[in-house]
Amino acid sequence: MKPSGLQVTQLLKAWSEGEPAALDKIMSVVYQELHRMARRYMANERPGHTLQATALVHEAYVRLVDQTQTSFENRAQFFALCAQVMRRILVDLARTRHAQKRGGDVAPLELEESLAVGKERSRDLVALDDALKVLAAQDERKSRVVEMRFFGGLSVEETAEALKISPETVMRDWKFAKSWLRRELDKETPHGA
Amino acid sequence: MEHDRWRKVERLYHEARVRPAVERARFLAEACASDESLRKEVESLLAKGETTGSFLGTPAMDVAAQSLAGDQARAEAPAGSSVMLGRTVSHYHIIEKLGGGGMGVVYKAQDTRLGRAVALKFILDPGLDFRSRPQGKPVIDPAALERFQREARAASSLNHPNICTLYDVGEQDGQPFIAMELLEGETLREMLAQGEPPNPSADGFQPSGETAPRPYDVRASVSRHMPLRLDTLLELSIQIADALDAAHQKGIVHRDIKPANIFIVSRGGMLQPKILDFGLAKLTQADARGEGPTSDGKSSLTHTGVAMGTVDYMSPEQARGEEIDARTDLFSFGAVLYEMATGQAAFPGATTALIHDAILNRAPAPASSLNPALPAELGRIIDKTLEKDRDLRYQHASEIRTDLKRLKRDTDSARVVAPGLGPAPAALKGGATEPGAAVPAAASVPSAVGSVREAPLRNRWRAVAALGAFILIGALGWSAWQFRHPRNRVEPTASLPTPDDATIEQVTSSRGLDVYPSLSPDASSIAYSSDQSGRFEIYVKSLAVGGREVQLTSDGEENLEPAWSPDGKSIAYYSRKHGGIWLVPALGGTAIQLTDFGSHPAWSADTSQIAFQSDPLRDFGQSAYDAMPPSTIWTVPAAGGNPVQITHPDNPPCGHGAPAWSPDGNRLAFSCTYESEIWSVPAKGGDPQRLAQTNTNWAFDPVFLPSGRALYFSAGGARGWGLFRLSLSARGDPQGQPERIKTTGDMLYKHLNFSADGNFFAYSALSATSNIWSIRYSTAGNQAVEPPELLTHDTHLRKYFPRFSPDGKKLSYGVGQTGSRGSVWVMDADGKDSRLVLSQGGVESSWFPDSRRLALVISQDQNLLLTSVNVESGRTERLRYIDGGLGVTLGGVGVTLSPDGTEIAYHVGQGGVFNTWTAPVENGSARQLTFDKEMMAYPCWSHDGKYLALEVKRGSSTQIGVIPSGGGAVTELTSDPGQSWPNDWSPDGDKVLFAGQRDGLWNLYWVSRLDKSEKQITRYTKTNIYVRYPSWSPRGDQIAYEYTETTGNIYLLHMK
Repeated sequence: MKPSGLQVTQLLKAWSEGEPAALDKIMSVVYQELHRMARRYMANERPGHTLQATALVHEAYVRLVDQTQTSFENRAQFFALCAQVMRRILVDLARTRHAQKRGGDVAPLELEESLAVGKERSRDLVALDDALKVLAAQDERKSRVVEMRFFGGLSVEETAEALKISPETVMRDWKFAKSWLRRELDKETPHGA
Repeated sequence: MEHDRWRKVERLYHEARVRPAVERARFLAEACASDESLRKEVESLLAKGETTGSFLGTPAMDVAAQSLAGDQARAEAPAGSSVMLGRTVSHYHIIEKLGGGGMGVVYKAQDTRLGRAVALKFILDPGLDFRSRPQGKPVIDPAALERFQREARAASSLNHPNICTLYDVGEQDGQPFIAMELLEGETLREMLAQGEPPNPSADGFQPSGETAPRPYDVRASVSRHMPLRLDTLLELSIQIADALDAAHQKGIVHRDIKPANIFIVSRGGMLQPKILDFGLAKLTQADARGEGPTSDGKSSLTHTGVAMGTVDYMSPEQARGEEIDARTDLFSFGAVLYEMATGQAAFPGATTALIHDAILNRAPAPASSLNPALPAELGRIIDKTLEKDRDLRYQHASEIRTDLKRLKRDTDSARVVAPGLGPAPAALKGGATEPGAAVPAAASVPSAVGSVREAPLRNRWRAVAALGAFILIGALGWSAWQFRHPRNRVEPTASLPTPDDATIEQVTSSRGLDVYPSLSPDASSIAYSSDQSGRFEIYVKSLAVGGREVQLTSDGEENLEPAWSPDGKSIAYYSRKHGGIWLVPALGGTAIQLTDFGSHPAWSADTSQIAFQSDPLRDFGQSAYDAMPPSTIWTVPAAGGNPVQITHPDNPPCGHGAPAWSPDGNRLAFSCTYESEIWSVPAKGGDPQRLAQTNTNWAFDPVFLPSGRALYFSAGGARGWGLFRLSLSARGDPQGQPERIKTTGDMLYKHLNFSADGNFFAYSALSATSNIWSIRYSTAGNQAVEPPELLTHDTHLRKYFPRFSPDGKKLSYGVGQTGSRGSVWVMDADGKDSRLVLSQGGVESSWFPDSRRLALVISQDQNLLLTSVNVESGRTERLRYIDGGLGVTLGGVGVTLSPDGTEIAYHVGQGGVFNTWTAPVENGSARQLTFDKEMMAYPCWSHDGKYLALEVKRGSSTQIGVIPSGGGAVTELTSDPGQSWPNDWSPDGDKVLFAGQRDGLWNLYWVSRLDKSEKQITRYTKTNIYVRYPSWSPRGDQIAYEYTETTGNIYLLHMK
């Protein structure tokens, strides 16, 4: 399936006008596109490129969205959406791998290593995703900030634009959420696997 | 947690966070008063805050996208290598993985100091199984590492065309690496392994010596391989012997000669073996390989007991673990020769032990018993190299070389007399066939389509006879041959033909430029221009099997644009260095000059006239126009005489280039530059007629179908490049609109050429690699002080117009396909953190004084709108419409902002005449600054805003001009023939920085406004590159610019 810029653009518009069904369709298109792009980057079809989340999201935007038809607000929305989709891709993958491991498969991939979220201690994304859900129940906006910054690779300014808050607020949310998440994840260790 | 409490925690967290640590406890104690749990909550968060550091610091996708697709790469790769891509090791920027295996991992990398591509090989402990130890790092003894570096340096002293050159040795995280010559081709092992398709992921790559721990899993007595043709075998083995001789004379022994360590590159139709890893085998082979210590008794770099690689080519003394010398290489070479000659291993065996036994105790089966066509002399040579007692072997590689050369001489002379002139000589015994039978074999190759490999490599001995037949007939001249050639048997089809992609055949495989194909009238040969010698020369290549390339000119005069005469006798070409149109006999001979100006010769069908354009050839870039105004079309009698001007520069008002004769000789078609149109004019002069108009930005190289019923041309625009076709009536009038018959994407098909029967179509496919580079500049010494450094790492999209922000911290630049609107990007001045600012924003932008916003021009509702964009947020703001009072089009406008951000300067072009205007950024009327009859355009502001530098066109050259920004007289600073394209000023306001083309080479220069002194900044010497858009940093210590390298090769296809 090759999504046309127009299709995604119209879906984005429909979504922003309050049509929830459009979101699933966009997610599916963006999911496929990001997945394909990530694979392509890894497969070295374009030598010379350094893989960067930001670059992926920007490229997806250029590829999927007809820029003559969209406003900048839509661009921010799109970036936020990419962050959501990336979270889904990565967490799904992590959960699958987790299941494989418990099932006794010999996983050649050192999952925890590759998906480590911090340098000092190896964490997998499943725990982070769970903690983010708890955070979202408490403070939706902070979980979105983490989602955009960490999963989407968005800059502070882009995050601010998408959430319609000031960059200063983004920084405050980001600092607080990181401390909070760090504490939550550390808490789990004694009970965890 | 309740909402209020959550807010409270958050508020206290931030309030405490900004206080010094020592004050926090007191602050919290006071703020939380009696609420102990609140205090603990905040304190626990603050405590975590101290340690978050890199926590969540790297976006998950950066790491995890690799795991989406990286399983396989990781499984194959050594520790950490999956994250090597994009990294810089020492001064090498790693671009892609080329291969990996027993001896290490090889990456393609860019040497950022010297700007060349290299192969970077990480030498690894062959005993470690990285699949099971992803974190494993080879443990290397420092003494061994030092020895490795010493030996590698010794090996790097080897400078021989058949030895892969070592550039550099280094170490990264305890892993030693080698930077070496990047090769493209295949290994001898793959060449021998006919039927085994090479690993697709490793196609056109550099091997790591081995791509698998064992080259052949089973050594059955039945060979899976084909012997090489005798001439190929001799061509390769003589060069290998020469390389061994050179190394041995320096006291360097390879120790691991085997097909996987011999790389075969094809250069100009010749096969060139390159021996890999000279002197390195010793460093990485484990002691246990020979059940004993290495020759010097010290520990080797690796210290596992696992033997690496293959034992198949090992000498008896190696197998016994004895001290070895140069003669070991000769034995291994013998085993390789044996396999080349027979297609079978000299010492077969299913296990290492059996192979050892064979090497030590058994004589190989006589080579001639496996390949009866083998000359007896070759059998003798092989036997002598495979003597188990090294004192009975050849003692020096030079002796083998001499014997092989003598054999080559004998078989070469035998081959010429072979076909049909008596009994087959010994060299062709068993493989000889009569010429009639050889013909289909020879002629069948053109249909072996889509293959970029050299088909002849895979042929059997019998092809030697076929080749012999062809050479003989070739010597009689193509005309005697053409009646039998299948290319002439195909009848022209009635309907308009289109290129049949299924039949594409790559004719040349250059890493530089092989361009301007011109088919011989019978399409049996092709002429073209190649820069393989460093300068462009004309070459002719037979399209038949084994067709050799013959160099037709060798005067270093940059000979381009060959055109084969319809009678097949001569080739006309353009000499860029000398100027004008020249003629040379197609079979070789002395060139004579026909005109002293002009380029792009084209023959009339009756061979009496040559048409050409008055403009010289400009450039090889994708966006290079055929010709610029006021170029016109001329004709000259092919036998010599005065040139006659056919078109006039103002009719049509554009640059006339790339003439093509209609088949009836009545009209000349030509491209019309800046208008993207194709026109025609009566060949004897008269009113021109527009044939085709496109919506693209460029239209090039019209060519008539030989039936005269269609015109083909190449054009491009925002949607990429493509081939277009325009139907013509019997009278030659256009019928309908041109249609795009093929989309070629990033690739530009240029230099279109039909065979005389219209069935074959040749073209050059050009692709460009464009990046922003930066060079350090010493203002004190007034010169570049360090080699250029690569700032962007991309592939085929062009990078335009880098611009330093006024604070010097950022660089803006444009990215786009030629002809597209492009997008605006910003990166740090050191190339880091590049990000998209605005797509569809055009490629030229300039900074506002605040270093936060860029000014650029976007197209809106047919108008041009000056816009500002915030580089952080991407927010745009409309500033004003641009109206030059003339029909300004987007393609013809470049807008730059004055340093104080209040004014813009731009040029307006119409009918090939360009002049510069200025206008206030806020409302106010535009003002025309120059009133030239040719061109005063591309204005750029001095840093103090007082002057504008301009590109002033005079004839076919452009010069640097300067005008006060408030208006006044234009002072021309340069008067050099060539191109001078200004783009920036030095911070002190004196020097105009420009991209200049001198003698066909592009480099960066500056010229002083005050004293007109000029200085060359860069020293590029390649003809297939150009530099553009230099920008000087505000401190004057850095210059950023676009560097684009164009590569091109020649392709041939059938029309269907």
